[in-house]
Amino acid sequence: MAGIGFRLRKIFGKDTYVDTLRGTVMAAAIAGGPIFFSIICLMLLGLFATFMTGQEMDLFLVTLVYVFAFSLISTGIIQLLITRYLSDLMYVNEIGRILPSFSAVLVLTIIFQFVIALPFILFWEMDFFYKLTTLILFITIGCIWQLLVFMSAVKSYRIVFIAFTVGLCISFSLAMFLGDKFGLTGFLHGYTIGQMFLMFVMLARMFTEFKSAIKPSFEFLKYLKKVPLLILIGFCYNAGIWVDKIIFWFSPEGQEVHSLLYAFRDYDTATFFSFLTTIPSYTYFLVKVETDFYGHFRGFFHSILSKQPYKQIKIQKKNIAISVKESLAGLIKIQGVVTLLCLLFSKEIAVFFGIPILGTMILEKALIAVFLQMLLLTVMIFLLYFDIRMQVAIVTGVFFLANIGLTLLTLKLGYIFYGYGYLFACLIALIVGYVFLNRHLHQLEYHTFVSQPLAG
Amino acid sequence: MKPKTDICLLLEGTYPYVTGGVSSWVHQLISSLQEFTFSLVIILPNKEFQQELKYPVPHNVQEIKRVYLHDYLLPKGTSGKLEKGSWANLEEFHRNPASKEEHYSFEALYRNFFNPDSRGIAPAKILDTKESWEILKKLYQEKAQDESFIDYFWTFRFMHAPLFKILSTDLPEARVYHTVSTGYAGLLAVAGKLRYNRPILLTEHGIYTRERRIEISRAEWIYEKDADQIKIRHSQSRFKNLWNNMFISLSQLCYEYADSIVTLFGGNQEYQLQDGASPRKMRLIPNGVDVELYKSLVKEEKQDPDELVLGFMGRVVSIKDVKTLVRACKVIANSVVKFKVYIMGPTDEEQTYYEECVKLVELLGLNNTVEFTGKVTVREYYPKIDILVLTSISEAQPLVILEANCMGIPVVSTDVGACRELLYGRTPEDRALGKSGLIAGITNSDEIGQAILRIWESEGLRKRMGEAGKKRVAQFYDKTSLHNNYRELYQHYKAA
Repeated sequence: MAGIGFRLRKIFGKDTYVDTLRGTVMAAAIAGGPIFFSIICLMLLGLFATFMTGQEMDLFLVTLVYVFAFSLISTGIIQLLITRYLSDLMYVNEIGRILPSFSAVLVLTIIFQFVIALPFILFWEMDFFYKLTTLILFITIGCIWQLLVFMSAVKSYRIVFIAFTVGLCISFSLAMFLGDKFGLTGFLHGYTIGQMFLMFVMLARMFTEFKSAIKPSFEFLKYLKKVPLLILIGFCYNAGIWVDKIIFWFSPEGQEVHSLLYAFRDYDTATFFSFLTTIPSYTYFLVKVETDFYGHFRGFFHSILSKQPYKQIKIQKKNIAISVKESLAGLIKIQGVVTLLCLLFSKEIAVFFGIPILGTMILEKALIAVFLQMLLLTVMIFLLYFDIRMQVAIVTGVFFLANIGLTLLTLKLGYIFYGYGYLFACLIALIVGYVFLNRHLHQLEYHTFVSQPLAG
Repeated sequence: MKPKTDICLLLEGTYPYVTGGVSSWVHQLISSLQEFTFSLVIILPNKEFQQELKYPVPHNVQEIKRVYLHDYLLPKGTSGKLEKGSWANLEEFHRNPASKEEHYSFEALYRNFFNPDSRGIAPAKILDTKESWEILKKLYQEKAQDESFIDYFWTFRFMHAPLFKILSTDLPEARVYHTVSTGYAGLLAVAGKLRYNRPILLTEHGIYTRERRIEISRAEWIYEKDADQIKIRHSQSRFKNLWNNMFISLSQLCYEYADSIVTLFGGNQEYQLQDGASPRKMRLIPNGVDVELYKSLVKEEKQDPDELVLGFMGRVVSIKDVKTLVRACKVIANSVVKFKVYIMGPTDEEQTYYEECVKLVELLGLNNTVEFTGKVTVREYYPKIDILVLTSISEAQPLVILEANCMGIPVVSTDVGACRELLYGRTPEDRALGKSGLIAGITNSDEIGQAILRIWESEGLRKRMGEAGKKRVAQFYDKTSLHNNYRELYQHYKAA
């Protein structure tokens, strides 16, 4: 009798896919470093540019805050998607397609930045040159964020570091020099030239690194269908970070620094400074993930693919869980010390930055909030490593919505509650994320195996 | 709504897409029992397998349904709630579908997980549940601890997903479910019985578990720990055993639920007994031939009466052991000066094997004696033949023996399947008719050659064997009277 001849098809055999996920996650994470650099540069300018009037300085800083906030939110929407696409390209060794995608991203970014800036171009009552320079700066910085994604995807960290160090030094010096000579507009020009230099260094690197065609290819937009949640995650996380500040700007507490430009100094200064306190733990985390966690993560998949018995796989799983817990514990220790020190000296810090005594309360809450936000980011990065996008989308969605809701609530409750919105939004999202992470770690083999499709 | 048919025939990898013994049997059965309506359910490996029909579909076939074992597109709908204890039941099913455990009930399993009228979970979801994952881990600890987990995982899935596919198939309603094997088709019949409460008739030509066992032992896709090391194995690897045990269980399950278990010859019944079939249900209906047709063929006058003409009727494939036939020819060549061998059958099925056979013929200097005719019209060749030879290492109940005997041609055959019964007689009455050929040992070319010589050298023996063969076939293997057995079975169960 003729048999059926059953066949076996293995779909699991793609070992290095693990590396693809790693690329995605790290590229997204490393982009954080340059933001720290930029904030420090701005703070130094604020301290040293004594030739500017308080009003001029306020206008300059608010302009820059707007540029940063809106460029980070707008570019953040597609950054995770692009990094995923790039990792996949590199996984299949299609290096030649990187540059065409890059030029496409650049074109899209310039158009998109322009559209966002349109209300300002039309309605901002401002001197033409200042307006034009701001527009150039806005587009330049948008391009810089996108460049960072490409540079870290191809691991040109050294160039990024050099470009930022030199670029920000130029920004600082030229702003000081031109500001002294020509006032506010010169100050902005100086800063912008440094940023443009920075952008061109990285651009040059891109074009010399890849000598392929540069004709834009919009193929990465296919990923909108493939991994649509990455868009949602990118938007919710970046917008979530800024939404409480934006709400305050346009609340009754916000001061109109200039037409269309609002600020709430107590809150802004407190949160920006607090953000800087996460530098040590941020560095610790990146190193820990790269050296420790990643090894165990790989080991887990390797044990499966190298035909190990179940108990061996379980040991590997335990190692991942241990590494995750150690990373979080280490982070809590380091950030704990920093945050505690800052809390002890919160009055002095407030005085140093010219925050009124009452504003110390906001600073204290902001310090705790960024601590939680750092943990949240860590948890999110682990979740992204496991490629469970739905859960990450929920976490970032909760973060974004909670930040809106709770911040609005604190506005009703009064000044002494300001900052609690951000703090509790971080806390709630962190708890949700931790629950997801813990659950996934528990059932890691289940998810790894059962997610395999029956038919390839 | 399609009308209910009398008989639902359940076919696995055969009719009407593959030619061969079972397929032509099925075709003749349907064609000759015109008073019954049929629906066919054909189990195929996957959609790519969809091939052209090898037989014209008789007009009493009212419906043809195809089930693709390996496309894994399981139904997504539910129509009831899972009863308590269902998962424990599923666990036992995974362990052994035909389990005799006290708490195990195959009926409850079918009702809760698969029956389209009552299932409490979508079959498509079962393997993805945490409960199923826990079952998998438990069975791994029981059956394959310390073995590669990923291979156990895939074995578990590839073993059970086709069963889920079969059990959740929406089967056409019929008065009788007639399955032509155990295995997947047998399981489908059981599902039909449980859903529509109608009887099952099982006809086994070859013994399913034995055929699977051979296939599995040769399979390279089943993981074995030291597969790359050459060493003699006393037992098969654990993964191969898992597959064998599953097929044995499927047979047991089918035997348990079948109302009648029919096979072709006594040898098969012993295997069925071993696999747990109840003797009460077992009966024998051999294959038959069109006696009138073969009787009417007249033997050709030969130009040279001293020339011996041998015939081999079958595909040139390893299971037919054509090489032993060629070697036997060498034995004959030592004593008989003039003889001719026709090897009649397609040569394209195992191309390399065919080429090896041709080389062997050349090596033994038999080029002018052995002729590969390719596929031929058998009726034109039978009249040329003096003795038919069959060297297979495995057979069920080969029709070529009956065809040759029917024409009075003696047969020399290896001792496989029903060959001994066919040539020497089964019942005392049958045996009294005398031998209609000789039996020799498997692969024993010397014995085969000697047997042929014995028949050829004695004209009296040749004549006696020819007569015995004619009588035997007419008396016991007349197709029309054998189909009457099925007619009666069908009538009986249809009315049940």
